[in-house]
Amino acid sequence: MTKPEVVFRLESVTKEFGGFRGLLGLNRSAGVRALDDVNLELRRGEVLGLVGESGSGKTTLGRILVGSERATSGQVWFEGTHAEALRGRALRNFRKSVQMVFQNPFTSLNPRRTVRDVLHSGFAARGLPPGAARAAAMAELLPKVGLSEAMLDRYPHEFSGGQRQRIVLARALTVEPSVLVADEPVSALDVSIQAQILNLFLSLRRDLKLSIVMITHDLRVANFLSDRIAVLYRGRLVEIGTREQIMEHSRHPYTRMLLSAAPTGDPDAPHHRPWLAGDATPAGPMSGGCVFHDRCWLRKIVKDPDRCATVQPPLTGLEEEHMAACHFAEQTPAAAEVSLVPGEASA
Amino acid sequence: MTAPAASAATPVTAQRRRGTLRSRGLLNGRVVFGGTLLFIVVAVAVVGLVWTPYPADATNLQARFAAPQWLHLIGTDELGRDILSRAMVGAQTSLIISACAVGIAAAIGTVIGFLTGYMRGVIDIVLSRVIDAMLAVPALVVALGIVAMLGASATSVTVALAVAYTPQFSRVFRGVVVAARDQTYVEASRGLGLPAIVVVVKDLLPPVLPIMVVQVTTSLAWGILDEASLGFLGLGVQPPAPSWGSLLIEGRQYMYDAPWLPIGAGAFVVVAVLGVNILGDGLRDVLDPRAWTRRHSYRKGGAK
Repeated sequence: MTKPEVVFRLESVTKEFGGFRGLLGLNRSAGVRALDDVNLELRRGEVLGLVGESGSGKTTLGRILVGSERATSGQVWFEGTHAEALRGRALRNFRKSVQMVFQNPFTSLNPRRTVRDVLHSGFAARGLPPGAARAAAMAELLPKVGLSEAMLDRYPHEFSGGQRQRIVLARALTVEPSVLVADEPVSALDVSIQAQILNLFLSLRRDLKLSIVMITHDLRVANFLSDRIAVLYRGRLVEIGTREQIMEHSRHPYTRMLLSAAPTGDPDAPHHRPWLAGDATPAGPMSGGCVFHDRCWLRKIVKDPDRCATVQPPLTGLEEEHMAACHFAEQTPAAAEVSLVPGEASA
Repeated sequence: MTAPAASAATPVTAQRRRGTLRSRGLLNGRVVFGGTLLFIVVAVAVVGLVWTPYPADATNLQARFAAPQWLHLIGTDELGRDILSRAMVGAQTSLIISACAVGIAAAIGTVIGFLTGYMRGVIDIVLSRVIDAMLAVPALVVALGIVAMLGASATSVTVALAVAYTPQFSRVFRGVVVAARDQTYVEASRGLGLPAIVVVVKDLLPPVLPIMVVQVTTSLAWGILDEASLGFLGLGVQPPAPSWGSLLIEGRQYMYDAPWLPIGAGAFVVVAVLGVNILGDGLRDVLDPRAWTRRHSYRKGGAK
């Protein structure tokens, strides 16, 4: 099997906020670790789902990919070059290659600029001279995202959320990127519109051979689009694998918990949620050990070993493509069956 | 919420709707009214360049403190000088000094505001503390010091007022820029790889413009009055050369015996300031596309 081409490679990327900003001595806190030792790769043409709760660091990871944020330590490699060392023209070319689609289409478009103006800026950034070249590019771009020429001279407030997200996508595509980082692109939209936009992502990926990082808290979205899914918890990558591996054979207790929390849409379906416990934000600073140990349901079943509270389990390969960071990853599927016994569900 | 059907109107309708909205915006009542007032004031000043009813500093001791009448429309002062003539000539001084000072202050203030607000870092820390220090001293005191150094003349008054107003402009603009640069759409523009200057002009200048209009109009009014105050302290345009401010301040002492002295000069100031303010208010709406549609359902933040 030929190895797929790697677009992005993250090597032990760590990001801390705060801590350093103490110039006047006012802020001396140790800082919050948004990402902790993340190793990840994005392959050419794939959709990588990035899932996790609020505060898990998934947005920070996306911002590091597009270059809006710099990693505190670790390295970001883009097509074989060290992305954080880029300067000047090379940096601008990198930023064009990796475009972000934002969560809220109501704030990611300037209310004072027409659609045409916004898209022309993108063409200018790509180096297209005004006139015929841009008109041709525009004529090529609009059908791809489902916009029409008649909409170009309007302002963002005249559009619905779904249409705005199409405009945001169009803006990202003006510079011919090879990677799209989509940060919850449908979470601000009506459910009926969500499907349209997700399908649009799929067709863009097919037609333009884009690699897409789909950041989402919604497992249905990740399931619908992704080739591979990475699960983040408190800034750590806890499990990664193909869509089937994560959605159907997940090995990390946290992934199982996320899956159990997702609504099924059928009110009569049995909804055992024995694992939903605790809050996503830790009460105090982490004391070492597994990031998930204080909320872990599996830990109780395996008789609460010391290891969980003292040793952070490394991300270890289970089968091809599939990796999980749990000392007891082998036992997760069986344990999940046990704890689904109806009697325990109400406890 | 905007219905998708409404947005999918035919091109012809959309085009026509845009045209009427745009023209309605530009020709709104306040722009017309304010513009007219300002035009009248400027016209009076321009006419004063070539013709006044009497020479501005011609005394007429027979007609001291004459009340408004056909020969002296706004009356005369303690030396029998025609107030209308003096106000027409004084308009040049007042308007030019105020406009130049505010223009310079707005230009420098914009540059400093954008430097500090957009670049942040060391530039911001250093410049902002200097601005803070200048703001701690009343503008008039700063101006006093500068005029004292440069000597009393129209030019030095202009420079002094420009320096005195600059901190206010840069402070206000910095705030707007700081708020605007964190908008997602600014991040998106930077993400497209556009040079900083393009991002500034396209995304950061537009939100500053309405604020600038307001700041310029208030400052113009203050410019007229501060020029007068400097003159009153003997540091501005020297008597007998008239300016609105000096007319106002000289007239003040005869407020009860000859109220037309302060009222006549004051009326010019009021009309000029009112005109500028109303025009500015109208222009602010013209600059905001959202105001073109009446009470449009603009939603901030989406459904979550």
